[in-house]
Amino acid sequence: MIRLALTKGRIESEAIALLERAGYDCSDLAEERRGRRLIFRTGGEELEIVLAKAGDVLTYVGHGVCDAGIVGSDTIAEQGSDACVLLDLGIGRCRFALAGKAGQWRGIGHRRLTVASKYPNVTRRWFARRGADVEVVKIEGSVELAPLLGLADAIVDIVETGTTLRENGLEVYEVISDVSARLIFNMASIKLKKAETDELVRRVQVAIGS
Amino acid sequence: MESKNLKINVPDGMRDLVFGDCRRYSAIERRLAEVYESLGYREVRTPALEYLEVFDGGSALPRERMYKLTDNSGRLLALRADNTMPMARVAATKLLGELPALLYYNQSVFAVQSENSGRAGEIIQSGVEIIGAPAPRGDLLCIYTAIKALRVLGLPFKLELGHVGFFNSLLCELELTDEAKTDLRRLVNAKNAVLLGSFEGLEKSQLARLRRIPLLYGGEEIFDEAEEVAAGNEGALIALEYVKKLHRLLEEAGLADDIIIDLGIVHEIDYYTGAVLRGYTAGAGEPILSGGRYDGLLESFGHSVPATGFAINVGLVAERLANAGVGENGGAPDVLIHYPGHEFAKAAELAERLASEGKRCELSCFGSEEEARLYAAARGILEVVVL
Repeated sequence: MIRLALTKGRIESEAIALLERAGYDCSDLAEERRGRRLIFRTGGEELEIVLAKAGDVLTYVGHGVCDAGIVGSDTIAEQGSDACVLLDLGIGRCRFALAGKAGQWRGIGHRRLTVASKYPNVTRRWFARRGADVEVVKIEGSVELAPLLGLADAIVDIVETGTTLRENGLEVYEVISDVSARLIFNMASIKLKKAETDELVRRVQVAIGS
Repeated sequence: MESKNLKINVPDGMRDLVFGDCRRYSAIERRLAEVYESLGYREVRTPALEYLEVFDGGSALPRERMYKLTDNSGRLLALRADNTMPMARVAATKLLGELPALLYYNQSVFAVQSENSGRAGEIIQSGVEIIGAPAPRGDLLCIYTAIKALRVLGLPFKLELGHVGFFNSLLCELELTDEAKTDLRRLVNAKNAVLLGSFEGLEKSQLARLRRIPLLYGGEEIFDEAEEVAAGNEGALIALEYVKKLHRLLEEAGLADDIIIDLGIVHEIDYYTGAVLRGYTAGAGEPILSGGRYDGLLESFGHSVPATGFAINVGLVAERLANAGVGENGGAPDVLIHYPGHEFAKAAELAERLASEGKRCELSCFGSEEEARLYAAARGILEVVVL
């Protein structure tokens, strides 16, 4: 049996639908049967599914207590990971973007910029590649507030439709990269449970049509 | 950030080993040393502190992650960041007259880990280095030693065999900047098939080939596919032929049952030049054994000598054994000797006699018999002798 850590929230329902299409019976995860449990079994007992926050998915897979995980590439980029990233699931699609108040972007100049983000590492790396001197401020909740309150010149965040930005008078200055959910594996698990992990990859591949 | 009470805490990544942990560590270290000694290896210990330069150049650990301090003339020192490099230093400076040198060691390496990662900053490694033995004899000895070592640990394991020449040769024929090659190496090493597929600056056919490399792992059935991937690249084909040859020789010796292959091993450590090894056991998310051939490393210490070796992560093995319930019990003495204060001589005499019968006994530290009996019950000491 393979233990799979699945990211709660944004990509959860899409990921469950994908697993269903791959032939895994996920009825144990249905809202009405869930209660407060955190660990679930697929019908046929092929998978044990653990619901976790995105960052924790990487931690569990990294330590090998979960064999596999479904997690956004945004979290992988931010947190770093030594897990094997075998498939792009094509769900939970969005983009990393630099954004701020509409019409206010002056570009990277001599002035030291302050940038707010939930993704300080991604932010620092992107500006560092451009040799830019920025102050990165880590924000936990709605990052859009930071430029509105005058804390930051810009934000780096994931943008799906851009509605939140628009409704708050913000706009995308530059797209940094595409983001989507990935199927990842612990390096030891794919070696020791090759037949089972190969089977999971194959079935998911069929389900996403790649 | 809340400040720790530094007096009663250990730094991030550092650990106290208490009782059962020590029992397991010692047992593992002793058994491995016995295997090494039985195969003719001799022990070497190197200092905990070395000039930082010793660890530079192989990127076993980047400078930022070494524990550093300065000596009294302001030179940078590093806490032992790797075992192979000091062993190579010893061999290149002290053992050139007696090659081949079969060395073994049992000592810690230190690495700064990111905060709250739950990873150990001090790792006790038990390993060997075979200095002055070229391939394939040196490799066969190394793999043979690794199998014998893994077997005495009492855990189910797989020993993985690869060759860095396979990927490196394929990388050579690509026209890329050094930076791009470093990125590619990192992606293949992490088996990141997704980012590999969208790697910029390569033709479709090259990408299609690259994407197959991380998936070249499993049993000997992967040799055929590896041959397709390597087609037309002489270096990769030579590496593949070599791995097949090692596998065949191991099979003939009846040692191939626990061997798996991964031709996608690139290794994060640059100093490896040939066959590489990794050992896995269920439940440990990272290799319990890691090593390989490093023919160029001694050159950085002034002498060109072929060499190979591996290290076993004692802490990871101990964790798996603890998980399996090994070494949890035991350690309690057989007898507690309770005696009146003026009868110490009698108590000591009895303790000697019981020891000669092979019993472990503890002299009571209590003044009253009642306290002594309560202590014995709590500690799991079955017999109390009252003088």
